[in-house]
Amino acid sequence: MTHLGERITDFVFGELAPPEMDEARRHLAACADCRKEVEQFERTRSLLKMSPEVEPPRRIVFEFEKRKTNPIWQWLAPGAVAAAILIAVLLASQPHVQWNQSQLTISFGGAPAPAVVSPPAPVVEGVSAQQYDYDRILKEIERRLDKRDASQLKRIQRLQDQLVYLKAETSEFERVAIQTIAASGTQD
Amino acid sequence: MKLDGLRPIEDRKIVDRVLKGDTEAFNLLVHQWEKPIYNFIFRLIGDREEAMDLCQESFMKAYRELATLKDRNRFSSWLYRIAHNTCYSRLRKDIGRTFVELDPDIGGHRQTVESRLAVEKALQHLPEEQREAVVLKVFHDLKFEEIAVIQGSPVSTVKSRLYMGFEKLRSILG
Ligand SMILES: [Zn+2]
Repeated sequence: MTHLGERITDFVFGELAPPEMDEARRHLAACADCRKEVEQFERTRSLLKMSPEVEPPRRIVFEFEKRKTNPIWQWLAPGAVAAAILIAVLLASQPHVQWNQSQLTISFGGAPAPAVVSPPAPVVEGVSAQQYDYDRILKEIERRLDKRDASQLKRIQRLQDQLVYLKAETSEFERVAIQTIAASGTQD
Repeated sequence: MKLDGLRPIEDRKIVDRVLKGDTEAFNLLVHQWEKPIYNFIFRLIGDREEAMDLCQESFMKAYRELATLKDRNRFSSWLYRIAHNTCYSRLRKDIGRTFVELDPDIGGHRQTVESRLAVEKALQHLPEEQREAVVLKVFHDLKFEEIAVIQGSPVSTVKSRLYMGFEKLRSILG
């Protein structure tokens, strides 16, 4: 067998077929040059792997249906930190993108998907919804987020994760409940 | 209520649910994939906020185009492909602009932050295709064939990109 050359990538990432893998191993046993290459390749890979994954700065949640109340907003607000930031950004064009507590809510209104309806815009104190400088808001949010205790932020994110799960999983119940309430005429 | 027992659900099952009209279930797919997709984009682009925008855009496209997903067992490769297209159309728009605006305040220990920065900086020295091949292989453990589908290139090209990328990274990282 000749030197591994570019096949070194297949070898290091275990993508050679078993017979070729054996052949490569036999070659490596006899060839110091290729052994060195493999070692360096592995070293670069471990250096890269030392770089951990990062947390997305926000969570993405899609909001599909028109409701009297928005459970996610309802749940998050009381669970949030005392100095909760509540800023919504309503983009002039669809879809709406809303921002709250490290969570991004995207709603489809007039979107290509026909079944999808825009949810009611949350009431936001002190923020006028139009012509907002998106970058500036995000910078301000970041500045405030940085001030917060990191562990608290993590706890909130975990809670949000669980809520997203729970919300999606219980959407069936929710839909039925909304229909029942609507049918009984006591929704208000 | 007990939440600990929640486990990831198979993508295929969720895709089925969404296509049958349970649109809310799409949030499960988002939940399962937002972190990997965000990290993929972040490593490719190098800018946190830009990455967040592109990540969001990718999921919106995925939702809109979900019905076009042919093989439901391959949702993740398809999603990476959408993220790839989203990033590349952004990169093409921003020709001449370099995304090396890395924020050291993401959190974590000093040492991990430093090694992360070193790696991110080194990655930004690679041409986009090489960087993407390295990121998908090393951090997302994808097969060369999957990367080839995502990049829309032959497998041999992907392997060369990875090889050349590694050669460059070796000289930068030592
Ligand atoms: Zn050799």
